Amino acid sequence: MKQSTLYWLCQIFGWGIYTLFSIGMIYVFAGPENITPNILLLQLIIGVCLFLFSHLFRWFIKRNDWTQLSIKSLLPKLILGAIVVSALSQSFIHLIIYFVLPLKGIMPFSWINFVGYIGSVSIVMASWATLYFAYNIIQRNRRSEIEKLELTSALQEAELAILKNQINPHFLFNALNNIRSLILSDPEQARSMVTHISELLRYSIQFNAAEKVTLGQEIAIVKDYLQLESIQFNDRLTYAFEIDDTSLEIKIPPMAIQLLVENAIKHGVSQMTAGGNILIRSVLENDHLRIEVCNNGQLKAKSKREGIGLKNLMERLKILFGHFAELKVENSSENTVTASLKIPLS
Amino acid sequence: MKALIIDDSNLARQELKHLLKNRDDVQVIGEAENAEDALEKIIDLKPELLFLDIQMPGKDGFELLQELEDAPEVIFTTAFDHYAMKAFDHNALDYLQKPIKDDRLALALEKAAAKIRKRASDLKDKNVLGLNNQVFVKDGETCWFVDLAEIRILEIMGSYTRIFFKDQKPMIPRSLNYMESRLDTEVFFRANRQQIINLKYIARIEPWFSGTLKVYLKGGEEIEVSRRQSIKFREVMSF
Repeated sequence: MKQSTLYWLCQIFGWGIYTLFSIGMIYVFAGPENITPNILLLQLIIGVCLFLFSHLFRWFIKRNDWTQLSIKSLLPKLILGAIVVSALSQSFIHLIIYFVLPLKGIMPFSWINFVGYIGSVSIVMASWATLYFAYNIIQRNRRSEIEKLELTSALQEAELAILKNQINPHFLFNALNNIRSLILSDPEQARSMVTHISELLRYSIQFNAAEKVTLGQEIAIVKDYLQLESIQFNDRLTYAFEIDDTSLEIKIPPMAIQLLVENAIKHGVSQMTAGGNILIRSVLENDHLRIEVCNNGQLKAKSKREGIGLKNLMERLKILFGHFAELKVENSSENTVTASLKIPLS
Repeated sequence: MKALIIDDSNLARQELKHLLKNRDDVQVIGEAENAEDALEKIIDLKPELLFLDIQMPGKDGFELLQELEDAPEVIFTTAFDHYAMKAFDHNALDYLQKPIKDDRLALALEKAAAKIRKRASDLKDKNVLGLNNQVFVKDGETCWFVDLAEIRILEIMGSYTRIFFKDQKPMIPRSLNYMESRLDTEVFFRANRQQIINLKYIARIEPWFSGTLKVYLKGGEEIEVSRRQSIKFREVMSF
């Protein structure tokens, strides 16, 4: 429902009930014989007038942006406003019923009654304004709550974008340099390397970090990546895959395995003069998929420059899977380092 | 210029050789694929210029340079290494980014050639290091090529030696005794057990207690010369 429609409905029902209540009070306290057509007309005039003057009050409140005020500075204004509106409305009502449209069978005009009416209607107006502000404040809180939620999710998305694993520029420029060399010595291989690098670049641009890809897609890209690294390391790099065929459709974060393989190369194979090998393995276990990337070598104490990629991947996993995903890198034997990634099956 | 290419990627070495093929100012006399291999070839082939990749298996390019007591001219080659490039820029060392652009290569070679000519013009004694010889020094993330002529003091630091030049005092992984045996005695003088000083930086000399001397250097340092060395010092300076 639109805000303005709700307001008008509340106005009509509120003042309608107020009028009926007033008539009811007359019926109960003054007796049924006092319910004359003129009294009913009088109550109707009062109801309509209060309806109009409260609307005037609202117009004034909106015009002066009272909704932005703190409770402390609002309170005196609200009380004063209620008294002024009440006085204005009572003057108007009295003007009608005693001069414009003189009603018979009602109490004669008296100043004391006039002031009394202003007093009682002030309380009614103040209550009206309190309800009005209460509704406004609740609405505003709810809106800011929603805005806060929207902001949080936007922030998470932005964080994901930052956490996204970019292609390592060192790798990229080495690959381009190697391809430049291959163009002279082996144009055919140069062509296939350009294809691998295109696949890898397209993949890294195509998927944002919030999306997931199938294990099959990721493995294909890891193969492209390893082909490119092979020309950098020649026969110093060997690798093998042991992928469970039934796991190929499982969804994982893009560039996750690529990152683990890149780490294995950076901290393992590339550090060893004799080179090394990498094994990429996937196993389906009960309620999760386990992906392992093993390389020969041993973990060394981390320096500040390392570990950012892994930390980012952990953050991504946490955002995508909560605490159901796991990532750890450890020495799995005296000459093997294993990075294992646990992805929950959804 | 006789050049040695040091890079772990075979294709990268081929690529650089191709770029240098048509230049008559450079002659590639060898290639190495890791630091150990390079060290042997530097000793055997005595290149005047190194094309050096930073990231290599085993020792990296910086570690290789620290092992050389007289570093040839070096042009670093790197694909993309944020940290290394910052160090290079900060210290005005020459580097090329792979894939290498022809005009950048030409510029780097020109600069290297000028330095090599300058060094060749200084007569070199076979056994000691000449004043225009340079040592590569790395201290944390910063690195320098330091001409021996710039060094004011060499000071013992355990099995290492701290060198004072300009406003810097980094350490080099060599003992003071070793340095003494390699330095030109006409210029460098062992003042005491802890220090060797460069005679060209002496500002003034004062007699000190019981026949010893105190030397004030232009850098503001004060050095006490031991009694035994003071006698020798008087002879050297002939007064």
